[in-house]
Amino acid sequence: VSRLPSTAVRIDAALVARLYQQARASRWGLSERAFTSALERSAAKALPDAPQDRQRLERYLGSLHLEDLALACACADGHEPAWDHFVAEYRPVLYRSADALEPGGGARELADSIYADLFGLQERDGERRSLFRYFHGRSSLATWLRAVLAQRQVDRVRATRRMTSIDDEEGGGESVSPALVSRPAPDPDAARFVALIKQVLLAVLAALPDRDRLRLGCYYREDLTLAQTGRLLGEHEATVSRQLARTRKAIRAEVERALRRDHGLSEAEIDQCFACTIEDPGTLDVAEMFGARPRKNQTPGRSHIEPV
Amino acid sequence: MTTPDRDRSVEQWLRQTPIPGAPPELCLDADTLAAWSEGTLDGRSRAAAEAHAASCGRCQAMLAAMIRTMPAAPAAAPAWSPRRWMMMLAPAAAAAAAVALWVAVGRPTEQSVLQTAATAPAAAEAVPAASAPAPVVAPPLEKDTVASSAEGRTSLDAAEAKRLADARNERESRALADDVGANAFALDKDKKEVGADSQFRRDERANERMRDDAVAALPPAAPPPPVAAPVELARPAQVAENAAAPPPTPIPSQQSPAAPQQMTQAQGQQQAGARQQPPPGPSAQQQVAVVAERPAAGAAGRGGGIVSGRLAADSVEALRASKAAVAAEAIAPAAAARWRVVNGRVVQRSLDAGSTWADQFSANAGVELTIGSAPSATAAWFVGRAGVVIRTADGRAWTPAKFPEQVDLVSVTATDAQSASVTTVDGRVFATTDGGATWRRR
Repeated sequence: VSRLPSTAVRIDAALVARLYQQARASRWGLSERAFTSALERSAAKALPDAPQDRQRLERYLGSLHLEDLALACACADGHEPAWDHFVAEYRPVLYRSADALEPGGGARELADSIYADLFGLQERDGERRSLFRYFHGRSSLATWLRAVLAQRQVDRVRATRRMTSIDDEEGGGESVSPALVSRPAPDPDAARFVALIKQVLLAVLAALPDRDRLRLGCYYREDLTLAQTGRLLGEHEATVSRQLARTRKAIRAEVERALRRDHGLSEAEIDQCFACTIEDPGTLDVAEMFGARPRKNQTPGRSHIEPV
Repeated sequence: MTTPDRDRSVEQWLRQTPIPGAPPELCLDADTLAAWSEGTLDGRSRAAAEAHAASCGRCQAMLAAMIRTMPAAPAAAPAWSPRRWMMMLAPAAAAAAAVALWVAVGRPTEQSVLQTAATAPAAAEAVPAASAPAPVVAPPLEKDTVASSAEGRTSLDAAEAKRLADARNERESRALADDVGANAFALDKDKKEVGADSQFRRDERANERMRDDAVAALPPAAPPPPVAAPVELARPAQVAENAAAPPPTPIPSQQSPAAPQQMTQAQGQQQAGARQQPPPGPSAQQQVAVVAERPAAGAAGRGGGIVSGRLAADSVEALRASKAAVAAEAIAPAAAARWRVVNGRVVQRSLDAGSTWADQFSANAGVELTIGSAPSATAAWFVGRAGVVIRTADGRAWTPAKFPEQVDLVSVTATDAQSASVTTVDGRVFATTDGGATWRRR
């Protein structure tokens, strides 16, 4: 029985031996001890509440991508054959993903930079820390690499956007959000109505169920297609469409109700509220409240990822 | 400003409104993102991840980036899971059951049904509880179908028919007008998606509209039938005979045991074989048959919503008049009281073991009720495509139950007027114990 003090997960030696064989870890020269540590870390992360539940633990470990986990362990330990195999097999995966994120090739540099972290150039307590240590085998290694790349890309774009926004705003001019530009209000009550809509809409959105909010965010903010949104949420695209329609209808009804009941607006005034946001979309720049800018249809050619 | 205009406003807001933020230190790590992407997160982890991502713009962006980098086909072989098997098996089982039903029961035409009704002699008898299948498959059909009254057995007058037709035309016109507006607004969306998306939106609006119509159009209460014929039960073997038996002599009504009645392949074969056997002795057990009929070819397509109504003609006569062919009849254990679905959307009841039928409920064109279950003489449920669920608690008035998803439902098992479980086309099972007001996934 092996034991990792930090996680207190115990894995039976016979089980480790069986999993080690399934993972074909010996082909990389990976020690059983290193493989055991990886299994324990994975179990500790996925089963924090029931690490001693033998059946559950066995079921979980059996569901892992064991060969990928063994390869990652071997690469983290610096085994040459494992690295050669990894580079040959997974570089194309990384490049394809990078090209999907930025068709112009801008993300390839990012993909290449991941190798340094995978190898572990940074040391902690005199030990090289490889990014592979954070791969737990719950997904395939290829999917995990895509997730790492997606994280890096999002963070890079968010950082870039913040700088770009400052530059744009300093330069004044065309790219300033329409909402920041003062303009004559078409209706004397428009400013009040827009403020009301902002207030009510944010409250309504915050009160939505998590899944509804996530669906809206993916579709409207991230501009995913119905199929992509459905893939993410495990729903058919028709279901996504229906649920979006249902949520939109609920939002509209809730906004109307709040305007009528909480703010005492008449039907005519509610009409005006809706009308002023349709006639002048720029006035409903709720994003300004969060220091962000409207993301859609604003700056063609830029990445779709926006700071929030 | 009209409601569609306001809905367009909401869409516009949503495109511009950020999601309220979440603490960045709780963001999903790459391992969780990847496991989510491959569907290997367990239920609790998945729920926690969704709850965070719902409020975190960064994680939404990462998820979106992940999805964009996914290959067209899944890179990894899908892991085995019972649900995957269920998703494959459910449609296959439904198809097999339908074929078995077709073969076992034959394809009775309207004429054959009527002939059976005219020739079979036996009166209803009691049935053993174990042999109690019932529901059925009823594909879509002709748009203009039977309009007949509930128990009144009076012919539908021309004025009423015209009024119903006008109302339907008006609804369709309104839907078309809405579609035009919605399609125009959708032009700023990804061009590749506009067609499918607007179609989905169209379907959705039609479904919602018809569901709303269903609730609005429900009669406050259905009048009691002129003769409240009590139920007398017969063995399954006698179903065919009973279908043609004369109306039974009224006896004191008994509540049947809550025996869910599902038509399966085995049951269909059992029933087919049972017709060849002599009837067993009478039993005290009560059963209710739920019968659905296969619609004729060239039927109307699927669609959404229910419109209730008590129509005004004897259904057999109406069937003749409308030329709606009865292609198949799934027969449950013999019983005086039974329900069936004609053309996928007209629910009929018989109180005389199937000799005569009267319409009780009619859904809008395009609605497809596919299967039903009747646990007692006064309770029955029918389900169908797009999450349509209707039930009756008194054997007369039908009300729609609100199902949480607009997914096709392939089976229903009811234990009483309040409790039932339904299976979706992808194999999930939902149950209700409050008459369909709330559903819990099993």
